Amino acid sequence: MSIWPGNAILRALPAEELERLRPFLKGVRFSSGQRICSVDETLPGIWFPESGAASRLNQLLTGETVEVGIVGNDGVIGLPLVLGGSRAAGACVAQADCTALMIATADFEEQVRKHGGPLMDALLMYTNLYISTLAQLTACHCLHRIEQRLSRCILTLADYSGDQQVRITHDTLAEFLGVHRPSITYALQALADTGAISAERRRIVIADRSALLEHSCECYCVIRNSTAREIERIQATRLQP
Amino acid sequence: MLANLLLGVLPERERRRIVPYCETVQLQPRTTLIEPESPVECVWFPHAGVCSNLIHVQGGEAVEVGLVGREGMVGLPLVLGGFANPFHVIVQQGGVATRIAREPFTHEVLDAGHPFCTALLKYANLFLSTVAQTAACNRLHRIEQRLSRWLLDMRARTDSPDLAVTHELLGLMVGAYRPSVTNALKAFEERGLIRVARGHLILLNEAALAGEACECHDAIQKRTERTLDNIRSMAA
Repeated sequence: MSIWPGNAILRALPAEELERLRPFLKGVRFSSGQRICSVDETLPGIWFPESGAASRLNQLLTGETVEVGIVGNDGVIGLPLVLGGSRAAGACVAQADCTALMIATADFEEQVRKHGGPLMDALLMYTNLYISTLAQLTACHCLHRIEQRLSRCILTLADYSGDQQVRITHDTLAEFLGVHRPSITYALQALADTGAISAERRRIVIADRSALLEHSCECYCVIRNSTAREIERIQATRLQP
Repeated sequence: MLANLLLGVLPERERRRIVPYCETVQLQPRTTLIEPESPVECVWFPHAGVCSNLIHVQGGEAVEVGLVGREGMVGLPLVLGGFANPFHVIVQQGGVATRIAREPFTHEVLDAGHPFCTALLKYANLFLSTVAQTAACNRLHRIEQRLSRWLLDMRARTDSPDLAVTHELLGLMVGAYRPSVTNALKAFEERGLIRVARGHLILLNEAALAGEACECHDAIQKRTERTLDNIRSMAA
């Protein structure tokens, strides 16, 4: 671990608090496609991603899913622990190879939650940000067309991968958007026809980013901007040890 | 008169500590409690009545992402110490609430580690999972299922099967266009499940509605009960 971790929430901490928590932070890796946690499962800990991206999925009893957020080094996985819950609210799946720092549940309870403190304050502020993202996505899934939502997903995943291509299958995109796979194939083809992307079986390349932005709903920008703004505020807040 | 379940579980000593900051207010139907993208100035704990959390998107459309009644509170950003507030909170069905202003709430009432604070965080966890459930429900379930789910969600928060809801608002509530809502209502009415009147809607056969609803109403109810039990046992 370098002196400062790669995760935005941990970076918001005063140096002495980070030092205190360092013995409890363990480096973990997830390869693309690996499940980080499953719905209703007891959470083994809380993760602070340093690289890569993971999707949050809400899953119904029928097994159907929709995406309720994409998280990278600006976020946290395992929020129920922050709020006093013990089980995962949904599933979380690595969408690219991820590295993360993790605090085990018992250590988190003892070192962070029980007595409050800067990390707890930052996590609560982050939870508020996540609730607003989730609410935006709830509206998005309901009100926006599949091409718009698909464009939003591709743009967001590309932001986290840091280049203009996203490795993802049509099946995974169908799980994200809560539609059948043929609709994804059809929508990708429609976007490809406009020249915004080129789509392969397991890879989407952004050919014209501003065109893809045009096809996306406002939700991409709303979520991206509010995340950047709130993370900046969390980091600017003088978190008191 | 503490019908609000979050206030209701407070131990007597904790209740006495909070009382000086509380005022009782009427929740007037169709009024706005919180404007979107503006600071939250108060929190409300409804004793009766139901509030809706709406999200507006460009083009004038909006959709409801969660109800709050006597099981909860309005104004979660103040509990979490956050800045972002995307919600437009309106009173769906009129009632009464305990209101606490921002300043005493964040400085006096909320005390990290206090049982009340812990209870409110558990409620935040519940609210989060309810919004996530709504995300999946609005996407994956048919209009008849969503409509039944919403009517039962409302019913769980009111004492009477007579719900003050207008036709116009129902579309927002279940994330559907008005004509499809009209058709679904008509079908329910013909089957004797509900009766639609001007400005309100009466549930006539709740068991049949439960049969129409998707899993989401049950899932949300169960989680709500589990959370409240958990809060009660913690307070005891």
